[in-house]
Amino acid sequence: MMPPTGITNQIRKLRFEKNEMTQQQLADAVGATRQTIIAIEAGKYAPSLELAFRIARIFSRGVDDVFNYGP
Amino acid sequence: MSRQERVSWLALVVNAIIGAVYFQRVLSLPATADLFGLRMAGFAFQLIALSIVVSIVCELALRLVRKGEGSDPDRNRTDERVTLINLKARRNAHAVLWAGMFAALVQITLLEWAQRFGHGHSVPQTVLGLMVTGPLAPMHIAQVLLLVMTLAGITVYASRIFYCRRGY
Repeated sequence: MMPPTGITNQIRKLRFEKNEMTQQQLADAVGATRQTIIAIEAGKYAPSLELAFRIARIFSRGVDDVFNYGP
Repeated sequence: MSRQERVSWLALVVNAIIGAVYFQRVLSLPATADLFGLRMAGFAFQLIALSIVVSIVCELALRLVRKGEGSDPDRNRTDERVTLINLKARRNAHAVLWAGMFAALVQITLLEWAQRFGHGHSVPQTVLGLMVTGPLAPMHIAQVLLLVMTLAGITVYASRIFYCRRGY
């Protein structure tokens, strides 16, 4: 099902691939709150370009490997 | 529930209680009551004291809840989503403030015209009746503006809770 923002992401999968990183650890690494990570993962919040780049960098991936946009 | 949401709930409850107690009392006063008199000043000070007590009780209750959940690393952190939520909440409050002020201005103007052009009205018994039928004194207009400001304040906290629950 398409999330309200129209943006899907692979954050949950990538977190588990990266030593089962917790949402709090990811939040600390990118300087966001855990609630923001939860909202992004659930597709309820579309992050800014800067935050999207920061999240992608944590996983050593490109932004379009982490986030996808499409109806 | 995030810290921001908890704090918003606390502020919403305190503002709603204080606002309800104050306006319930003021609007039911006799139309001839002196709203800027010593008795009203005493009542206002009592309300301020009540708001402090309610805030402390709610804060203690929140701390008890948090104690069971361990420390919160996001306690003092603000990010773009939090900022966005605050901006949207303030935008909603601004809309309420603007609409309330506009409604108050229209009401004051209509009451003034009704008086000027001699349309008779029943003599109001309470301050609330006075605000509906006029004539309004500056102290009554001040109460209307205070009511609008209180509603705008409540809108900020209610909006924050709404956007926190929705995700942004």
